[in-house]
Amino acid sequence: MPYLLQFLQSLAVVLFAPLYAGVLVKASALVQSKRGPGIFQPYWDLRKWMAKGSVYSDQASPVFKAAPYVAMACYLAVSTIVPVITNQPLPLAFLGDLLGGALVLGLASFVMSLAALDTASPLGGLGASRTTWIGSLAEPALILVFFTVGVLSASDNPYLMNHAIAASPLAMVLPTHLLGAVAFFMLLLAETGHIPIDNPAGTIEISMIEEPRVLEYSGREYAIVKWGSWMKLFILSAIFMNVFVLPGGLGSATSLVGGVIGTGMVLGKLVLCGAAIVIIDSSFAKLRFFRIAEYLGGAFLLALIGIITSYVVAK
Amino acid sequence: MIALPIGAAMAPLLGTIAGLLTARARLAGMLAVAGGILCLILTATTAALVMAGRPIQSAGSLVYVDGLGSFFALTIAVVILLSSLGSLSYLAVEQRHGTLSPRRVRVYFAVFGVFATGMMGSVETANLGLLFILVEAATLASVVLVPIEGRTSGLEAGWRYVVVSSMGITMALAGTLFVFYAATGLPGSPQDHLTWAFLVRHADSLDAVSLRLGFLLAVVGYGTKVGLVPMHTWLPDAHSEAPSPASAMLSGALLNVGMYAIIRFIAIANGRFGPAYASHVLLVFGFLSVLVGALFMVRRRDFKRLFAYSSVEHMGIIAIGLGFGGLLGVYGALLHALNHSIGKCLLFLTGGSVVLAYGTRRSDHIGGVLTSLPLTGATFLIGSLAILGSPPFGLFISEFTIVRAGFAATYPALVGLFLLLLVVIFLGFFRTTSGMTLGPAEPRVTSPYVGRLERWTAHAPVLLGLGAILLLGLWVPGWLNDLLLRSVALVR
Amino acid sequence: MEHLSLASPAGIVLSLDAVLILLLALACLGSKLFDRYLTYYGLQSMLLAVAAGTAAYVEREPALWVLAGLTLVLKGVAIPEAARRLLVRRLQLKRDVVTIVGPSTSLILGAILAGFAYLVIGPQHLAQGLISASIIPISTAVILIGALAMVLRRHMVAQLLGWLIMENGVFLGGITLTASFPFIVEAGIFFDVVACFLIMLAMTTGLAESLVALSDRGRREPT
Repeated sequence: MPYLLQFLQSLAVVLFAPLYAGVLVKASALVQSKRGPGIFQPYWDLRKWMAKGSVYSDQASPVFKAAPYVAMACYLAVSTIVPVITNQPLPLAFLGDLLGGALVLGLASFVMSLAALDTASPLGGLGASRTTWIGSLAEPALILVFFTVGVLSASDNPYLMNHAIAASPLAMVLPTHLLGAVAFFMLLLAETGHIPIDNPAGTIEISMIEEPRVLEYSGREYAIVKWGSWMKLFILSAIFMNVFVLPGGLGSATSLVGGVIGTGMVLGKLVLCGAAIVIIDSSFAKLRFFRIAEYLGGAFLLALIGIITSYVVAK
Repeated sequence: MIALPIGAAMAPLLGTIAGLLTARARLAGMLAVAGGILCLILTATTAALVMAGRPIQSAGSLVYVDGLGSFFALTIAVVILLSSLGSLSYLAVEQRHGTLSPRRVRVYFAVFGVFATGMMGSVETANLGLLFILVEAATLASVVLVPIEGRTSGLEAGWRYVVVSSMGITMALAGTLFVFYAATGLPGSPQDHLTWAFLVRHADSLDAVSLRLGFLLAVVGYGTKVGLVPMHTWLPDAHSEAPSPASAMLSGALLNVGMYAIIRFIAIANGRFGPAYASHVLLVFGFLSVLVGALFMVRRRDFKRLFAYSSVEHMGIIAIGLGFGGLLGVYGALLHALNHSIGKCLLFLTGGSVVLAYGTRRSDHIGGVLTSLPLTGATFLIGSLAILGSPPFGLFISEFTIVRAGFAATYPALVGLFLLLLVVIFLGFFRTTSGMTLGPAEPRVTSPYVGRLERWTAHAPVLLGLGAILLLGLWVPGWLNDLLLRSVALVR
Repeated sequence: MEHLSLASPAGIVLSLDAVLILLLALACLGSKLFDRYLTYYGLQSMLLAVAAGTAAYVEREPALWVLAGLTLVLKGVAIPEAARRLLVRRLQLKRDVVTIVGPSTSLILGAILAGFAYLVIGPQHLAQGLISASIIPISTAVILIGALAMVLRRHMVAQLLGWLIMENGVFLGGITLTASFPFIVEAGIFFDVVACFLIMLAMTTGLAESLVALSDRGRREPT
């Protein structure tokens, strides 16, 4: 049964990630009084790209061709170790804790940057340098954020964190936890290229941050890359909701029904998270590039204050 | 009974009333002087009563005068009287010259009274919170006096003064809170937990960590007020930019009030930790102050700044005296506080005459004061010898006592350093003041004072002060000795 | 008050409140625009009023309600509004042009100071689970951050506000831990603060005007 659940969890991530992205786009459009594409548009896009052939630059090395698959594998790996539909570790959860998950996500970002540099296209290099810069600033903050929940649960295992938060309503309102949650949400926006770091609907290459890295891809590889980035958004949002905000409602590691209900619950929670993202997307402007350091510094600061105020923990 | 100290504290408010009533410097000044005389008489009576019996206190110890309090009250009252005499003539001249508008004269006297009352009040309470409030009130009043001559440099000095000292005073408040916190759980009302006498009595049962933190914060906070290095940065600016009689108050009285507050906290800390702890803290601050004072006194052009650095140095000497501790150390420190008050007060007042006559504070533009203005020049020269601790003046006796205390406390190396610094200070200071007083007369310079009243009120406080400080150098009166011994007993 | 448990509702409110006050102090440290700075300060003072109100509720002390009201009205509304009208609107002192270090560096220094406050106070040695372990280090940190703002910023308005933040830090500790602090003293301190603010405001005005006059003269001289 746990193996089945394990499969179900990764399947849920793979299947519902495009839907989540589509809902976000649609909601953004609605908030901005536009009609917007349908919520299933990402699926049609995927089918279209899959059907097309790929064009490679004659400068491209195997790194370029392999990168999307490596990244996809990373996202799949992360989907097995974090709590998405169950609150008990599944068979593959031994692979890593939250820090390990962050490491694997870092690997995905790394190969994508390598691939962007590989074709020697100027925009690719630009995107790679920008994302690496932001990543290097976000990473320490992310680690600190994990520590904030780690302080409360005395563990860096996402499942134990989930239990610690779910077990005590007091923990939810402790400054440490709230600050950690806010900081994590800020990092989530930064990592997935949302306002105020990057405009997901932006069309001007020169101001893009995440997008220029994948401009050289086409066809099936492009589909994989996009799918991977939607999965990343899905996974990070799920971690945010399951570990930081609403820990309840997940299934156990033994019941398939619980897993299915858990999937539904996660989708419901993601609606809330998506609503927050959409509101921020629509009501703030993109930061000037050099202010991004301040934004990430702010997230770092919040997490740091969260940790140093953790003495407040009531035992 | 408590009407006496309250009356003494309120008496300078006569000056405030005068300032509100009239814009004529002479008239307002005379009322301020009357207030100063009344204040001194009432303070002396209070001191006599305290000496005769037990401390005067009200219910809840909001008003509380003991030996130490009445000693400092006397010191302050003397300075208030001398400076209000000086204010009369100084402001009359400035008003005639048009430097001060009538409105500013009003403000000066109004604020002067509040300033004096705040200081008198702060040494007559045992409540640390009230002490804080009154010191802060006095400081705020004095801030208004600094830029009153309307120069931009004065405004800047005033700004620096208010910023640094409010930062310091906030530290002092935090220190007071911590000391209060250290007393939680003791019997008595919350009012008692802020009362100095209560805290000293129960010093043994105070919480050590909070008290240590509170003590350090209070020393740093009130030390800002005192001008201990490195919290002294506001002092030279403020003391040199203020009108001279106000400088006399700042240097002669306000610094002592800060020192008084520190002494109160030392008494509490000594009760808990024994004398060594506070002693080390004070020695560090004291030596830093004397050292920096000495270094900055060499080749100082602005002579009022020179006096200001000399105040830093003397506060350092008092801190060193307290740091050496023992009967001799504390006795010497307190006596030095009195001597320095009078000496610095008369020096600023006579310096005020020089500023008025020459229209500058730069020592290299001033020469031959002794020949141009014989009386001012003579007092200036003798006053600077006195402030440097030459015999036969009072400061010699008190510094000598502190040196003896240093030997008694077996700090011979520190005493050697101390004496070396005093020599450097003597050379640096006297080089400047002798250069100003000696030399050929400047023909254009005449006495700024017109009429008998101005001349009298300009010279009388200086001569009185010189007489007092000379007397203190030759002989410490029996009653003063008793008062000092009683104060020392309160601190140790 | 110092024996209030952290797990009680009042304890939770207070510790959250204190953390927000700390964050606002940091926000002040990082902001260059005085308008925003004043907004943060006003918010911080309002949170301070909330803390005072909580203390008043727990202690059932009417005097503290008065203090909370005073804090809300004077520090939360009157002081920022007065400063905004006079300094920002009339004297056009809009942004801090003379910082020694940039906002990011100041923030890092501020965070280091906050950590330092925890290091010095050592709340892990205090009684666990009590409100004092959470409030004392935070109020110390706010005091230090205010002092840092005064040191790092050379602009008068920034220094003034830095001092006000320091004062708020002291009050945070004072109100919540020593609720039994005699009211006369507390009120006296409060009015001292207001008086000091007014004097500083007057001096800032004087200085700003004389600076304007100076620069005008400087501009006219070459012609």
